Amino acid sequence: MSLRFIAALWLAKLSIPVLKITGHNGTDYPGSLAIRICPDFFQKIGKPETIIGVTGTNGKTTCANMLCDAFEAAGKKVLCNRYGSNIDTGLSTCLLKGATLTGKAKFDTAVLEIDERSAVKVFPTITPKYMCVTNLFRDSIMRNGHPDYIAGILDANIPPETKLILNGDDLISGRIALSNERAYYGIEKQPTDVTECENLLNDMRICPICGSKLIYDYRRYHHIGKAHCSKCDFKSPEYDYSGHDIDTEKNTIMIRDKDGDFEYHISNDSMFNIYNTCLVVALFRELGYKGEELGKIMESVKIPDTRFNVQKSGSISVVTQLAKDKNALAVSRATDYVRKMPGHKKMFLLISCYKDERHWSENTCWLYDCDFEMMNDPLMDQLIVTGPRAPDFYMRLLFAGIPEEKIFYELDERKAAAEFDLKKDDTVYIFCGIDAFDLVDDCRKIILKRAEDEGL
Amino acid sequence: MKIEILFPEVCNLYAELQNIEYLRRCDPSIEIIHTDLKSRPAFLDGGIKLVYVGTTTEKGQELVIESLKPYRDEILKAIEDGQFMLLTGNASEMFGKTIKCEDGNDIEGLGILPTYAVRDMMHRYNTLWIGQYHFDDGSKEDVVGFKSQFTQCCFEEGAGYDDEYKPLFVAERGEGLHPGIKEEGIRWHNLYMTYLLGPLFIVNPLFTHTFLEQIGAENTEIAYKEASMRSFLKRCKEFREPDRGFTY
Repeated sequence: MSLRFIAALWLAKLSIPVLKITGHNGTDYPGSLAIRICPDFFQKIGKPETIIGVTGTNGKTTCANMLCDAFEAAGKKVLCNRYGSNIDTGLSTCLLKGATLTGKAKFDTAVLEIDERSAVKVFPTITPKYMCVTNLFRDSIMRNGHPDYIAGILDANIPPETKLILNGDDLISGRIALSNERAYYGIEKQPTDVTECENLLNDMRICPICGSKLIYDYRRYHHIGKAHCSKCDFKSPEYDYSGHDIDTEKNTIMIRDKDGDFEYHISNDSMFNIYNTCLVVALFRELGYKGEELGKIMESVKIPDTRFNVQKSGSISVVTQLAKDKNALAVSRATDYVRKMPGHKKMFLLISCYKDERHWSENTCWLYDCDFEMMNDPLMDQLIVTGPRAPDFYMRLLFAGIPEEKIFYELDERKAAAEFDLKKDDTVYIFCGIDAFDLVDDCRKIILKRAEDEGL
Repeated sequence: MKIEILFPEVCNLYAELQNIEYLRRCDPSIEIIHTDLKSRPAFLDGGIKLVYVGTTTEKGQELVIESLKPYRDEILKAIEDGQFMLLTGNASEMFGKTIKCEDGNDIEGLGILPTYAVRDMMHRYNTLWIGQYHFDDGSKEDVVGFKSQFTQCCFEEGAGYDDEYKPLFVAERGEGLHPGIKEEGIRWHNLYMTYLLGPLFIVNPLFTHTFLEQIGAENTEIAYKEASMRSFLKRCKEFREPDRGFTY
């Protein structure tokens, strides 16, 4: 162990309470400092014996948090990067927090959310025992290009000894690192499934083997579903963990595996989150947890509040729905979920890529990949477009066929919250990115206060 | 008027197909036909006013080249005879001579354009873009867009912008066809190519109007004109702000 490594470790550890005192908790600074002092810090720092990696375009934070919750419910303390970032510096921060003063790992298991684009930097150093992949969709155009590109990065970098826990309904992520051992989870045909794509994003239209048209036996959304080739014998994989009989009243799903059929709690009824539940169940079953025991564990697993949150005042409900900006898929899924909710609703769009706005201007291509057409619904009473990209959203909503009179346009977000048409029994869905939580909080408070003041 | 979209099953990244939908919203008489990778392009048999190819993946580029290779000479003749064709994003690379890859496994293109592209998959090139479209009478109009690509495109040795291969746009801020030059895109006969994304027509109501006129559309009025212009003018203003970062 070099002096340089020890100096890096101690200084980085020392920076943690300093950052806490100065209110900078949760940053990558300690890891980044350690790497600056000792460039091979990431390689040298002690790592838990069992590393469970979680990656994918959407749902990786949710899944990593669910896995940590499940471990906690099972009485096992694990190291996780819940409050840090998912790139090499964030992972270094997490690992040094979980290391002794001599750099040895204090935990035997870690759950690490890993940014899919960072695989190149992460995997030469970390060899997960299991790598859970949620899905691969289009993400930020600027950073991720397209899902095929990300699949290529994962393909080339995931260590051969890592077992993959894959979504059998996703023909993009389901085909990464084909020579690795793998287990597939999936959800059997649902009454709401279709065969033709209803979404703008549809990235798996042709057979990856022969290029002929793929025929979907059932399609849940976008390219998620079960398909086979119209010409050759290519088809979706069989599930090892097969979800079925989803009961949204009891909040349960049955998942069948080689040992039988077991019931599990689902903490959110959106299909996207039910897939997350299947992933958690598949991983825990792979780790050897019994079905009945896991059933009890899953009752404690919740979706974090920052993703989906409901607050009420009088008859008014304000639902905060995380819908990552620059990510057409995330916003499309949220839109689809909201349109299927009963009752009249209003949508308040706070997805103006505020972080980008500070130093450059957002690439808005993604708006036209996103299913805003789903908002053209008789139960959608008003759409509030606000913030720096309001003119682009306004144009996009018109393009989606939404009548002009349903669109409320106001550049100032707080003013928009104070002035849009709020009526008794309204449910207001705030769509927000991850860089606007303070703004979301302000707007939500304004709406809830209006409900109180206006006696709604 | 018919517009043929080639290979929408793979050439569909970055909402590029909405370019053609926007043209149809402007001129509802436009009929859009889709041709897949396994079919002969319809324009080769006439009756198509505009052929459109959008951005695709790296694998998609190879599939497109393979699909079009048997028709290479017919495509060249159609373009020389005045067929309107619009290639956006990396679509033009399939029509160039070569796509040079980092691993040395270069991909041979159709060799219709005297260009080559150089791929660098670990460095994505992102930039905002503002410039102008120049009319023959010397007047010009603003054009905005984004570039987001793994490649840079250059003319082959001995070729370049001239009376035959004209720039489609000229950059005011941002780079041209490749860093170091201001000329963006190519106009050759009635083939238009550009790396600008947006989608191009949706973020450029002025150029859309110009383009509709050039292809002889029945209606050249812009759809959602007021909203489109508001968004366009805000973007022009933003892209001219000196403190606005331009390359990501």
